[in-house]
Amino acid sequence: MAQQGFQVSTVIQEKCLKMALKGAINEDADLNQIPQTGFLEYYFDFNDVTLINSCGIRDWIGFLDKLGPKVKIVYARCPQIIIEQINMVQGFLRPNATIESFYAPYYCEHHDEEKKILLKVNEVKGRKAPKKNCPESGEEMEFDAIEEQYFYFIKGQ
Amino acid sequence: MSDLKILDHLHEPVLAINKEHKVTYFNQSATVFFQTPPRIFKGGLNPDKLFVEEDQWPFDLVRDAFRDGDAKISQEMTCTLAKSKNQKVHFIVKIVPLPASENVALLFFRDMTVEKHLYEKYKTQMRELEDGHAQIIQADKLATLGEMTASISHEIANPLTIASGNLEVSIAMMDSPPGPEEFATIKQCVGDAFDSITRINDIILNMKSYLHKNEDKKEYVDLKVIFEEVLALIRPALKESQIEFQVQTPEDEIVAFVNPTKISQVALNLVKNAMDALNEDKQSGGKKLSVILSKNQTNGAIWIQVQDNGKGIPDKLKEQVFKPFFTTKTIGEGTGLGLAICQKIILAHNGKIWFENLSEGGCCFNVELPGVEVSSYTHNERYLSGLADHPGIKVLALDDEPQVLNVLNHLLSEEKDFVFIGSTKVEDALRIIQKFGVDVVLADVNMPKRGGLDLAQEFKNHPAPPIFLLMTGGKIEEDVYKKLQLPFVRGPIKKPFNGPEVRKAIRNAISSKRK
Repeated sequence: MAQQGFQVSTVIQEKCLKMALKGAINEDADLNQIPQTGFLEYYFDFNDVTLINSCGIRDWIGFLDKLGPKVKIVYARCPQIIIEQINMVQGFLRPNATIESFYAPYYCEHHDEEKKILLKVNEVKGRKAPKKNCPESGEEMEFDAIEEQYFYFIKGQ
Repeated sequence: MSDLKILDHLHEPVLAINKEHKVTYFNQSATVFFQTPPRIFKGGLNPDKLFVEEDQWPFDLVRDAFRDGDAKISQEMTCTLAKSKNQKVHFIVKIVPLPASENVALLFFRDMTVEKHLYEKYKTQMRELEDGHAQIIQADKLATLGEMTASISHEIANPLTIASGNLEVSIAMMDSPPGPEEFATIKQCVGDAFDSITRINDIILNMKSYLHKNEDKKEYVDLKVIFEEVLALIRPALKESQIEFQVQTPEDEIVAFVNPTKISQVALNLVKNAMDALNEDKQSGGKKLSVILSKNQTNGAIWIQVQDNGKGIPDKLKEQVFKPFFTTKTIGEGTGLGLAICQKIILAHNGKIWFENLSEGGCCFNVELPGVEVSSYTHNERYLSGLADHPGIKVLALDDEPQVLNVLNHLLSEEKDFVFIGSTKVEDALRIIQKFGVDVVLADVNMPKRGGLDLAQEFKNHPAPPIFLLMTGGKIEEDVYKKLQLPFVRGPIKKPFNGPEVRKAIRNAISSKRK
């Protein structure tokens, strides 16, 4: 199935550029459509990103280089695919960047279903997944990844 | 089991499976690549269940790896992930059995998804570029022909007038029953009308042939014929411009292995450029243009020269002449692509194109094309080199008729291991056999000058001669080649022949040589 093209919707709030990213960050994604100067803060909402591949990662890191070390970068609603790349690739999460929120995989035994739960970074203590209950059954869900590996990026935050 | 923890740090997905094909270990990259949580791996998953297309999993290869204790590598596989049905992955898996006591094999996956996507995009874009280029070439041909429309119309108008005039006279003479004298005149008129219509037909056929779009096919052709056809298109324009035109060709045919449509375009572009240069320079009298076709007797290379006696190319423009969109003509008179296209076409034929200002005034454009043997060898060898572990069978055909070479080339190209080399002259064939080595020679016996028997004689004392299969359209007596007393010469292949017949004769010759 063809991947959805990359789209960026922007909202400017004074010196902050808020962006909602959508689709695949791959070799076809045009990151040049994002203004690279004139803002002190860049806020990226990754909620609708469906894929990121090695070409997209390379371009993303190149794009961060252009922004420079002084601007503040915030990543919000990062899907699992983004967190996995952050954990594996040097340069994806810069010292000037923070993760506001991200999705984590949980498993509800009652429904035999995998669910992605939005977490705030400060909910994770000592790289242990916070307890979460299934919204429908109310039963506690099982964290569905290896905690030490999935929360690796939280080191130093 | 060996400590596999170290594999957790690899960026490549790794699984370990036991002889029951159950996963016993997975690294972090495996959970990412297969988008499958650890919970599922820990449940004793079979790796084929990671994909929608379970039957594509190389069970046989895994079994062989366990049995032989050797690593095995799969072919490139394309599968849909069971956990993400909108995502296809492309990969190769290497199966490495651990020492027998452990009954475990490691599966190393090489993710080729991005590489495959980029490769497909590259191929698509190359195709688009090629299509675009073909359109530019076609547009240039149309533009060139368009610029000559006036003179071609004039060239058609003349025979049309003659034809209609003659038919008018004939009709008038048939008002009353014609006597023998009138009948002879009518016959003459109809004959003249027919000749004129044939002339018009020739002009139209030449135009159609010039505009023909079959861009990638190389053929054995006589360049003299190609040039005659294309020069017929421009003769009216040369006549109108009062240019003294001369064509010099050798007595023999000049057979080349080229794309005839593209070489026609080069010929027409060069002659038209020379004509435009003359028209720009001299308004009246003394304008001369010549086309010289020749062949280098030492290396078989073919030369095309187009000379004019204009004012030549100024030094400051020399660097730009072959650049696309460079033109000295006014808007509407030229696309500026003609010479750039000529250069691209000639380079694609492994040839050279250059120009020189002549000391006596004027300019000469030179084209050098490799001889027919070299160009057919390099063309076919290029395809063969893509086949791994196959030495190929080099077959040289000697025949003075280009059409026979085309037929043989076509028949042999149906099987990929033949490298076909066409030749029209004994001397050229000899040179190429000595240079590249050939397994089999298909040689025509009945040629105007020296033929297949003469070529075979050249190998009389050769330590490792090629096998000769003689070809003949007529009758050849058994004792003719027996008299040669050359053990490497085999009986004749009679024309007309078909593909299976020729291929079988060649393969038999090769196997008899090996014995």
